[in-house]
Amino acid sequence: MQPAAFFRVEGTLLSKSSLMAAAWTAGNGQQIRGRLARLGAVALAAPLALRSKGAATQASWSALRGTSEDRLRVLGEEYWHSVLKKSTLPVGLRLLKQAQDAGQRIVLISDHPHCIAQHMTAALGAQSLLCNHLEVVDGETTGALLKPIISGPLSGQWTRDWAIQHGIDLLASGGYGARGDDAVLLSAVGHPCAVRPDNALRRTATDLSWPVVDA
Amino acid sequence: MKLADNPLDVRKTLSGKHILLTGVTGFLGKVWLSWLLTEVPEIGRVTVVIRPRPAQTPIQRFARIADTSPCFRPLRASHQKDYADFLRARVDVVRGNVEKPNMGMGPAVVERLTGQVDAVIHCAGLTDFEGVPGKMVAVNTSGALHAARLSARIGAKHIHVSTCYVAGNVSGHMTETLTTGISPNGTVLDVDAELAGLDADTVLPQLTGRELKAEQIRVAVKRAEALGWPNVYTYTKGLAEHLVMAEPGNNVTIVRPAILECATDYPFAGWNEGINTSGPLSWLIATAFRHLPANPDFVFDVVPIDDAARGLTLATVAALDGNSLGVYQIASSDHNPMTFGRCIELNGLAVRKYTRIHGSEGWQGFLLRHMDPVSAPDGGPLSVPRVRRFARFLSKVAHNLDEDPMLGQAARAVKERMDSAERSLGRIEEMLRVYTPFIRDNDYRFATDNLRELTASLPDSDRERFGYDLSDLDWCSYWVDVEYPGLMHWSIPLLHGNKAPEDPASEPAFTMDQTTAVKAVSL
Repeated sequence: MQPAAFFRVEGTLLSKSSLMAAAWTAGNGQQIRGRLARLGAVALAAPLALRSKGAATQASWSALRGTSEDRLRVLGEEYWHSVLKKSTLPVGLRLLKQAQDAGQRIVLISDHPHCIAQHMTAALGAQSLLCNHLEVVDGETTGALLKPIISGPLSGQWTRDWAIQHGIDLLASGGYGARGDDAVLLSAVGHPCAVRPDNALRRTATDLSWPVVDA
Repeated sequence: MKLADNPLDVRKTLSGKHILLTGVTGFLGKVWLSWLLTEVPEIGRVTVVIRPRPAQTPIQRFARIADTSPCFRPLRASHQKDYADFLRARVDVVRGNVEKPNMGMGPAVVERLTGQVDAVIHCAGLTDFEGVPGKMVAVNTSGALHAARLSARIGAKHIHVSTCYVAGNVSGHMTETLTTGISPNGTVLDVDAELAGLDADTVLPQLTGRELKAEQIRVAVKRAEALGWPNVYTYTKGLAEHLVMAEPGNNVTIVRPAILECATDYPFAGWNEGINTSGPLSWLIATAFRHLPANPDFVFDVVPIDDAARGLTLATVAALDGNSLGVYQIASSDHNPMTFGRCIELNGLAVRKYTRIHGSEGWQGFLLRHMDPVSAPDGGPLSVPRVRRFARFLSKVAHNLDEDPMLGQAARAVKERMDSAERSLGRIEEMLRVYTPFIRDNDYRFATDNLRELTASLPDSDRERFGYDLSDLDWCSYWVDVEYPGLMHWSIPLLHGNKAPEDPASEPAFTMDQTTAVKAVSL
């Protein structure tokens, strides 16, 4: 059994959410008309985030229906290099380095689809990546996210199952989250840590005496 | 004999064999030779037939390729100071000219080659879609006949490199067959009569210079179209197939590549030479031109050059083993098709990635990155003819304001720019017209069953090295990371009038000493 460090990417390592990525990808479609229609659909999905992050994530990526897999791959790489890489958070990177130095296996958990998130793995020196996957049929995405959908709260059971499958000692592992939804993940590991937490997670962290890192 | 009963052993078959190769200064010939010497160094000998140039002997031409062509980098790197000896031990250079009987070789050379050569691989050809008919016939058609006759005379197998596009103006599944005497549209073909009709001297002797050339091309294209071929290139290559196949006692294997493009691995990813089919189209898409008049659902049949070299080798080995299936097509459309719609999108994405990494200039670069090209079979709202008409209109308006005291100067500048744009667009329109049969009118699916059958008969250990199968070729990665950057480095500079990059001459430089030269050349 090996200890791991679970990083909920959005909020701890990156300041940008996957909604931004959906909007950016929609705005870089092949044809102008398609771009406008998709951007409009992503804009309509955004308010859903106030009620359910999962619903907003699914709705925003569904706007990409009909986009070619080729485009997703090339734009995914560009988005990482041109946009997302610049939004990495120094505090998260410092914690990541500490975990690496401690010999922990780095597990990134991201709302971003694989075409974008895969570039984080090598760039951040992670060993595992859990992210969303867009369904592709005949070379084009249907806009549907394949299960399990990484969004909002991850169930504690799911985390435990994954840890068992991969020989991870959860009690010896660390967890890093930034939002209220991440509390379930953090409560499943032995060494939880709230990073730049929102109000909900800050309250939980205070109640449960989890360390809080703000900068 | 079934291939399954007699598995192909590429190295064993080629070991000690003597191959005579034409077209080594061309794209496929060069890659094939370099690749063969790398992968099958136990080959006995390769005699390359090279035409002299006014200021260059055949040996000098070959030495320049051996010394400075990036295609020979892997050989130079692996043999280093022994490179020249390695080449001298395996390659002879012979002065020749495929346009002449016996390929221009003297009786003594032919005598010396008789009974010594196992196979003649005839790669030489002109791939000019609108070349002067006389020259095209001399190289593509008569050259093939000369190669076939020489092969018969010296007792060698004959491998004739043709093109898949001899299929002509037809769509659908193209089998690896040839019905001699019948043209693509089913017309009964008299090859001798066709050749007589294409004889340059018989066409309108009252015309001279450029007018004569244009008229010769027009007449030849008209005749080609009447028989079902889209241009002079496919016409002359098609006639060549009929000629060599009809030769008495022919021992020919026809190899038909589709569109040969940048290498995936050998000599290294992205290498290309000259201006091939995709170069001008990719260049066009990387300009302000956004609508390519291609049918998005039709297939663009591209093959990386190193895969084509493998295919040519397999066909040669089958011929040497006495197992030739007659015709081998080297294509991708039947087992890993890439449509024009996909290719155009990939090209736009490739431009985007390339300019992100290498930079692009100002607002034009920004627009190129963010305005993707699309296929528009009818030309689309920004079709070249429409934009050209608009440029002409603006030029006329500017011309009318020429004398205006207030606007005259600006009007003259506008007119100059519009006239220049109109001329450039005219050239582009002409280029697209030549490409139209291949990108909009015909949807080809070339069968490659014969090559893949040969691949299946290779031992597992040889399949990756010598096999031909593009099923796993990832077009996205190939086009964005290999093809487009390769074109930008090796081909597009030629369109701007620059020279193709060469390597610094190897040290020590490859030369043929006088003894070797005399022995090999026998002028």
